[in-house]
Amino acid sequence: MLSCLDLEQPGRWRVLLIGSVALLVSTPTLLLFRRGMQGDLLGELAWGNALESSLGLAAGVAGASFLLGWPLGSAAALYRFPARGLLLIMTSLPLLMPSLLLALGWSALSLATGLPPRGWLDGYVGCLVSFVASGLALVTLTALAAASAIPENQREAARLFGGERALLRNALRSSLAPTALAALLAGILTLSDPAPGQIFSQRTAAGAILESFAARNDLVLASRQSAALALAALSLSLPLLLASARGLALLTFARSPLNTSLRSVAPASATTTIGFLCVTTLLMLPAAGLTLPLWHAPSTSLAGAFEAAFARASDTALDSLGYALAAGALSAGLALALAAAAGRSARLQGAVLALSVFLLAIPAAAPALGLASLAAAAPPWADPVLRGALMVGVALGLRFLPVAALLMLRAWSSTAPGWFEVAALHGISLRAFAGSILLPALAPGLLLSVALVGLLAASDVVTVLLLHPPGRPSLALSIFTVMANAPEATVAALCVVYGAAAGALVAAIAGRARALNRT
Amino acid sequence: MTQLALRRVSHVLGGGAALQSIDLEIASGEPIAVLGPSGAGKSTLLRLLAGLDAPSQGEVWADNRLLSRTGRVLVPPHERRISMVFQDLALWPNLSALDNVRLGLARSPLSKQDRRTRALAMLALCRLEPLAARLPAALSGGEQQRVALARALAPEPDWLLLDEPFSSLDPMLRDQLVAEVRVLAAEQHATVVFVTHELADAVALTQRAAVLDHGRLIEAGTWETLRAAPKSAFSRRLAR
Repeated sequence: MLSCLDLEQPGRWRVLLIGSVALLVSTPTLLLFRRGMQGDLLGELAWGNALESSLGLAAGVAGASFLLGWPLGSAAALYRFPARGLLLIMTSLPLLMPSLLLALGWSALSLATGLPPRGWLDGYVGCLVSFVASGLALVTLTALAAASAIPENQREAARLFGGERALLRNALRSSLAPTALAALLAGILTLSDPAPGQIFSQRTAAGAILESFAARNDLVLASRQSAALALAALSLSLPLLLASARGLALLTFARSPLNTSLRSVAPASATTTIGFLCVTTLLMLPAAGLTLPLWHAPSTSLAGAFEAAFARASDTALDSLGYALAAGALSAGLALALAAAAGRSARLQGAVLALSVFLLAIPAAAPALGLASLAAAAPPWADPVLRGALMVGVALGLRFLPVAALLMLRAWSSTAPGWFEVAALHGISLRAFAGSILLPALAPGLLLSVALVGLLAASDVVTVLLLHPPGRPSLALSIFTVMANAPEATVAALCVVYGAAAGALVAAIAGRARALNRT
Repeated sequence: MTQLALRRVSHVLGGGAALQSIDLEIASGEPIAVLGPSGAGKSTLLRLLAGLDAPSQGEVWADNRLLSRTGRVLVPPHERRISMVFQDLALWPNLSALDNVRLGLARSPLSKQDRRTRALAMLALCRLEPLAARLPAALSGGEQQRVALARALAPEPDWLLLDEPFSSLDPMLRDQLVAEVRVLAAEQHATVVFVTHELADAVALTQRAAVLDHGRLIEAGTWETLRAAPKSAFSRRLAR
């Protein structure tokens, strides 16, 4: 039985626990690999031009996100500028939205304003602008977090040495490695998302996998394609990750000083404001595009569109919420176990970070198809579990575990070793310590993990599409399946309902987080 | 316990030797200061006495009971009748001053009501009763020190280990707290082991001293013996 002191000291249980969680979350993908490796994997790498096109898109998203997000996030960590909080929230919103909403918005805007036959946005460029908003959010927030960790006295020292320019150079240098990794991750995440490719008629690897599974009903081919895509993604990310995991852990999870003061330096603040306004435009333009069909629709069909949207939303609400909550709870629980096991060891934190990036780099279809193949091979009595709604929540929880793991590692780093040691000296049981001190201290991180993973799970299309029980889609999947056939106004109304629900949830979480911060 | 003893204790931290072959006996009722410059191994010595770490080599004894030996803690910290005040105080930030002290009585055989009474009594002794409901963040530095002290003394320990708890305070407040600790520890019959590099504080609070440097014990004895035959910068300053 663990004691309070064990949580602060090295032990074999730490490696065992991290290894067990890693095995658990990788099992679906390993199952898929086992199946996929039986075929001609290298041959699959050349399926159509899908993989080549996806890799090109990933490179474009990674490059654009890095070039814009790196300076913006670093500057936001140093300077106060008008509406800073609002602009940061707006910048992060695309992370929590299905990419198909942005793609639909851009597509509608392009068709309404552009040139024939399909507007000024199509193919590669359409996919790029749809993906770049979420990539930019990821990169900007990473740069912000990394540069925020520079202590106040180091900031002052840099200012004394060479003024604001030296300080900015220092911040850019500090945030370079994590930001580059975030940009790479942003690119890799595009590999597993089929929606923008389908909307802009761009052949992508994720689209091809979906076609193999859903249209051709060929699980073996889809497995081989997923395995090939996963290998491509991992071979891109692993070298950088292995080289930088420990250093990144030291940088990201060190007990950094909170509330470092931000300066209002006029030129820097103005430049940063303009930068963030440009970034939020990437969100506002497709949002405007999404609502265009509603403006053009006659009032009677508008009412009908919203009626249909609300009906579909209420039909799918319970399942969407169930998938999201199950995913959030599972990932927060596993993330807490990982954070406890990693403790304050930079080596183990680096291992969890490496596991997180590994899991994010694997295309969403890979673990989902692994679970589908497990369900196909299992005896019929296992169907209620393996083909049930709970499995969708489990798959989504495992998919988004990295997000919760990073948040919980950060939350754990904010505790002090002395808390555990004093508890040990006074003989406080681990249960009493956890209930009275540890969990209340970790509560904001846990709550945020459940909420963020829940939102990401609610916006997922691929996993739900591959695993959901018949007749029980989520709202995001509903939009994905009807977008090609339903009237434009209905699709737009569905998107507005989705956006309003997600926005209300984000506002509620922000309010709760602010209340927790105050206490 | 009437005597704590370190026997040929060495300890390695981060690849370097934090303590090297230390032999030291600490008698009950004879408060002792552990002096030395930063990095001398003072805090490591306290952690080994408390059982928070196991020595890399050697043994820690209490009377005839072996508490720790090479690589193993045999008697866990809470069974040593030892309390400790850390340099950063380690107050639990989400608990009020009263709850910090009350939770520190987790192993006490007292009833729930009696624990509350005891915690309030300790806070009163430390002149903190009116602030019992406040969170640590709402207390001044000196008040936080006294909460940490009340928490440490509440379980009536035989030994009170102080790991430079006054280092961040201004000289006047430090003098006042040192005087208070001396009175409180005497009232509670706790023997103080006081880690510091402030000679004046050490002389005010203790009767004996052990001086460490680079992990080695340079000298140990009463203030008079140290003054008579100084072997370290600390005792030479004392002699002057």
